[in-house]
Amino acid sequence: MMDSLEQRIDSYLSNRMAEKEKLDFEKEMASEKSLQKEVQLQKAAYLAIEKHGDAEIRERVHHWENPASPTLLKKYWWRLALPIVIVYAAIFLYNAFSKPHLEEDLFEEYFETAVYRSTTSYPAETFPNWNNGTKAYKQGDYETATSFYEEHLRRQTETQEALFYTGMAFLSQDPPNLKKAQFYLGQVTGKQNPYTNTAKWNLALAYLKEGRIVRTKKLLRELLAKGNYRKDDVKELLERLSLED
Amino acid sequence: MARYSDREIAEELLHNDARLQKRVKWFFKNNRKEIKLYVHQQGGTSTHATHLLEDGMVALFHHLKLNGTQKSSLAKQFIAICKSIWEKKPDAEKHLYPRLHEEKAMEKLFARMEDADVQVLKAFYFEAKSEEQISKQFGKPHHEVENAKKWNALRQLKDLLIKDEELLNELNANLPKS
Repeated sequence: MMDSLEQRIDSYLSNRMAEKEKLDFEKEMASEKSLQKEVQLQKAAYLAIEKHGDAEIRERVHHWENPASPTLLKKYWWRLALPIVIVYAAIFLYNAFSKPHLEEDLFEEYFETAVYRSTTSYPAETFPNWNNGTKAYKQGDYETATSFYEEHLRRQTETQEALFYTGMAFLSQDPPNLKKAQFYLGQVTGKQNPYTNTAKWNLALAYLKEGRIVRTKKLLRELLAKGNYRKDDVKELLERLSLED
Repeated sequence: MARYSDREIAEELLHNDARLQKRVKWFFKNNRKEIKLYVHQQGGTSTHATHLLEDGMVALFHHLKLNGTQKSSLAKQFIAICKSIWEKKPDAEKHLYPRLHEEKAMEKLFARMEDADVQVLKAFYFEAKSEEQISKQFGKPHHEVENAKKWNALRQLKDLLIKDEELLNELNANLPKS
């Protein structure tokens, strides 16, 4: 089979051509302006891939560094409620031998907000709520994102993608809205679709955070039985939960 | 005692799978305080520190891709990289975020491609993945992924760049002079 133009340029740029082939290629390039242009274009494409990858790493780090910050009201409310929380926590820990605390820690350890990556086109003029929601989602403002997403779901046909990101936005809030997250993610885990496994994993974490271990384990076992999605994490979490039984 | 070895962290960083960043996140959270303290000691702000941490993680990724793991600990390498970036950056640029325009342009460019094609291009040209890991990721032998997907995806990307003259010119201006 004849190599494609991209393949030949790739071999040349990555120094994988034999000496004679390389000399012939350079000769061809010297006489053909169009080939020179293609080589330059391919170099630009490689640079674009690198810059896109760099941006993804930056976005991830930015998110670790700036998780959605609670509003002033929330901060104030927590300060007011602190004595109640302390008493409640003491009673809770006494009754439950600190098990729920462990579950919260496990949630924090395993949960990651899904990076928004759409497979569908949402023209801004037709889907303003979706676009506004996604803008907020990407900025880590999950409260705003959920308002727009829910409005979108009220007005448009529900898609697995829309349900998934709405669920993820509720789960990414600080603190997460577990009931809403469970409601939306639960609708994505039924029929097989590109979001099924990610939704199932996050639904399991939403139940874990709530202390509903039986449901968490059931979902994790389903994931383990049906494929390789985050296999090591799923196995590890199941083992850690079993140790706490 | 460290919870994860440098090797485990480096492997996860190089594989760049957005879903599997537990070890890298742990590493980042363990080292960010030192960088923040350094930036504050140098008269910088929290925003400067955040930008520096982002640049530092990107630089660490490329450093590992180029050199592999080295004798000195990963934390020491990361801190040295961040300090070097800070020292080399002119004062006037420390408060800026010059990549915003570039990042938006990239996001727009790659949003026009199928996610699966973008993943293939990244696996081959950005992430340090072995043939075996590529086969595992795409569920096909490496050469099949290459023949069936990679060249088409690359052609698509080149076609998109041809249509975006401004971006192409910017990329060409940033290419190393040969």
